[in-house]
Amino acid sequence: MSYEKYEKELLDQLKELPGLEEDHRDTVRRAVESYFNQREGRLENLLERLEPGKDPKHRDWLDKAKAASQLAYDEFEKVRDVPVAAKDFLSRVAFQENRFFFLLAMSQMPVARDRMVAQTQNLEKAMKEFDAKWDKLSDLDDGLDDRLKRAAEQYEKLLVEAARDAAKTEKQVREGFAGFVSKAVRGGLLLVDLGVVERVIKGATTAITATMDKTEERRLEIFALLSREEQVIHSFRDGRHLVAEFLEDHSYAMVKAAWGDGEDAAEAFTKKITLDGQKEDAAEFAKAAENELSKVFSVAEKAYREFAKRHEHLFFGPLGSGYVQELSEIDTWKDKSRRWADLREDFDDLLRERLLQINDNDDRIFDVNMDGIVEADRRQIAKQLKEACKKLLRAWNAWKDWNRKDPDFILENREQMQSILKALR
Amino acid sequence: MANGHTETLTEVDRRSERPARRVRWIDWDSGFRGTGLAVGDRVVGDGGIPYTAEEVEKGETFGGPSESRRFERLGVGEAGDRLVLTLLRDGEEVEVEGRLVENRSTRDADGRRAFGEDGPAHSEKDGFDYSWASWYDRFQDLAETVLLGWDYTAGFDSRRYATQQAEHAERVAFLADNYPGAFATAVGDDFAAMTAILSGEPRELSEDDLEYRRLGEIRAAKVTAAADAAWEAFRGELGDDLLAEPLPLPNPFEEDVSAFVGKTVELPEIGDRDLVYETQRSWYKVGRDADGCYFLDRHGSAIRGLYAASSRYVEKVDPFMENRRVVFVGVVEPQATMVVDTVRNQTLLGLRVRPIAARVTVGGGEHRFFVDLRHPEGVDPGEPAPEDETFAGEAELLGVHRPALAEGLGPDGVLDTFFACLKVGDMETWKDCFADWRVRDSYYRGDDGRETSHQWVDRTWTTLNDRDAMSVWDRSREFLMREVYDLEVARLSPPRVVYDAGTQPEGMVDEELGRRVERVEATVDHVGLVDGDYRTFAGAQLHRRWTLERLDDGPWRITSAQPI
Repeated sequence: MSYEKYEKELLDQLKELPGLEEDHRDTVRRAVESYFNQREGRLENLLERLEPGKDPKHRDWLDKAKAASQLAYDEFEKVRDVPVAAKDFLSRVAFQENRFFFLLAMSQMPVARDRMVAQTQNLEKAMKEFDAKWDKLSDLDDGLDDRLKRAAEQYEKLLVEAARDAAKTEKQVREGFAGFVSKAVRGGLLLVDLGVVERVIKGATTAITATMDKTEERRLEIFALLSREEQVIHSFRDGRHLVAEFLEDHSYAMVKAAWGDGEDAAEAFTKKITLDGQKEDAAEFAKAAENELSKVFSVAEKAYREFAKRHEHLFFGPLGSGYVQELSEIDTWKDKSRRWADLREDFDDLLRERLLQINDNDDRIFDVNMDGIVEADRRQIAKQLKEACKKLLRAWNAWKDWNRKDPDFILENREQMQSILKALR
Repeated sequence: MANGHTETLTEVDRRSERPARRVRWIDWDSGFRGTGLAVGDRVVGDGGIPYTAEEVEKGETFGGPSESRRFERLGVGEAGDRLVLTLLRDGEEVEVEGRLVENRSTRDADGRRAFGEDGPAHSEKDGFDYSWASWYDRFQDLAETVLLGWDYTAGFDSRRYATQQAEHAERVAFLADNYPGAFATAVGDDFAAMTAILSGEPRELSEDDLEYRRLGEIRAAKVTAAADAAWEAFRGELGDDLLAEPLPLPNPFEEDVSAFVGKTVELPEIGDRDLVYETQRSWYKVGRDADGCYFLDRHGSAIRGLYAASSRYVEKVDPFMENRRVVFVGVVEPQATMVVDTVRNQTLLGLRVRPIAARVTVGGGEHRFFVDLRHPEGVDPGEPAPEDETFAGEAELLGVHRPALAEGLGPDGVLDTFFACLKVGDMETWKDCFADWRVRDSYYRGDDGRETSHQWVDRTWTTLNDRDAMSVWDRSREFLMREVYDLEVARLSPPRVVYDAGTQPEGMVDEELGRRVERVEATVDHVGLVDGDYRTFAGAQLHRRWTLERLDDGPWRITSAQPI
């Protein structure tokens, strides 16, 4: 770049300046040329302040431009022993050049440049920060999901074992009691031992109580893990909120606005200059400045695009369906829930209340026909088994109540989580 | 006869109300040496004729680039001609007379250019690192600046220039010993004049005068005692509610932390290095990653009382508040928090704590203050009323020795009170010393289409807003605890009217805003410790010039918004 138009204009004017001897004219010409040589350096120096970089340059720009605004005065003051006309000529140039650099000092070009640089750095920092956040959240979510799956598998195993125990109990009770009734019919009640059936019933009660305790442990663990997953989702939402705040000053529109302000400032500078040659130099400088500012914008734009590439549809904008699935894993839990419901139905079938419902006058106990057993003996049998059966029935009913809705809680929780995530879409 | 020259340099004096040029330099061989003319003098005329503005601007004056034109008009101009200058010193006209001299160069016996018949050759080094000509350029540069005095060059630093001057002492002495003559005499005179300017004036300061410097120490001790008592009382209130071992804290994203949530904890002491800055937030971090972390939101409303207290502590006790460390007591909140420290490349997990109290130690632990951060609902902890106690013991700090801004004080009295407030830490009275008006100019186009202007008194003006006041106060107090030992009003300009409602265009006056504003300019001397003695001095960051105004014969108030 060269800024020679004003110099040329001045040298032409100097040639026509009346009343000057040639050596005086020559002295002034040399002073003008020397000044404009330095002026070009100063302008290049200012342009360097608009280049892309990491540090703010506005203060530096102000210092340099203000120093440059004194340059013409300082240089021309050295010119002595020339006629007044020459002094006047130089004073006028010094005044105009002072104004030229003063307007540059006041220009908002470096302010816009610094804003874009700050936006770039903040975007780069935010990108790192939210990358780290997502990595950690993702790890935490995966870890919790694994633990949740393990707990759910153990829970499922307990359900299966409980169903198996129920079936076994039902079979043992019925078979044992049928044998007992058969013996009692043949040889009388006193000759047979009802304790076998009683022990089976008591054993089943103990087994189902123990299963309940174990299932309760798993259930509590699952609740705790779900609550931790909620913390993860909460942190994720918090992250999105922060990014929304951040983008108020760092969105693409804001980066572009900063660039636009820089271009406006360059244009405004040229407009304020009134002398032809100086105006052309100003336009040349403004063009070069806009070029530098566009480089700064490119860097900022790249930083924004990189940020957007990584975090759009995750931390800002509609949440991507992949992320919803990743965070909620709803399909896995739908499958599990269905399987648990099937198991629960099997289990319900086995926990038939009527099996364990014993009345003094029942003609069937444990689904076994009591024909052939006298009334008094029936009452004796019912009395002996009633308490154990009651306990077993109470335990099984508790288990059944507990399981009626419980296995759905993970799915419900997941659906709730998914609805939160879907609200972000 | 040869052409005569003044061999001086003058420049346009823009601060002068009359057309004038200021003497920048008097060459060693000038005919005005020894006449009483000094660098810095304001020349308003010569040959008995005052300068016009045009002559001053064009330099057609004594010492100007076109002084010969002036001489032509005066009918002088030959070497040996005498010229009487009219100077303006402290508002009085003074005359000095000198003579024009021939502009000639002298050569020594070897044909080398020299500083007069007795002076050294320009190119001679005499064992020094560089020639006499180079040295004299440097000497003259320094002398030009120093001889103009403390109030001419922005950022004049008498101690820095004294150090630079000392570097020339050996050469000046050598010159006197080896080249006695006109050149050595002129240099010796300039050196002595510089010494007189740079060494300032001696002052006597007694122990009592400097008592204010120990106030901070006394106050810090008082506040520390109050902090210890308040801390004990606070801990007593908490009783068994305090969780015995807040650390280690399990990872709240993976482990059960219900035993911590909702509990009151006293956290280990932290310092300024325990801060984490995220893009949109910043945190106090307590604990290490391995033991789990607690986070305190630095922008949360709960912590704002700490900032208010810290500001007041800086105002009233210790303007430096260095090596600050804080112990927080707070309630653990249930929300698990993830914080990314991009500087250390760490992702930290922990729980948030809502602070309810803070104990701050300063200066390596010797002094402390205690802040109760529990606030009644509806009270903004960030903007306490002036009478509110922001830290324990604050209320006891003021009351005695509070400077009074008495009615009827002159501008110097107001400035003395202003400085006294800074010494004892009375910010409220200090703020009252500033004006709450400003004379403004308004340009407008009249009915006849011509542009004109009028003045008005802006009564909505605040010389120093609260935020700037804080910064100006802190900076001034720092100076008073370090390099400045005292301040005194050295000079006051006569009052001049800067606003008169009677001279304003019709319809452009609002009587209620004021009819007359007077202004004075005050020059303030700072007293420092120079080689064990108290002396006035000028510092690059110190302000010697102050303006005060009064409205309608009311009290004088300061209009300069600046630290001391």
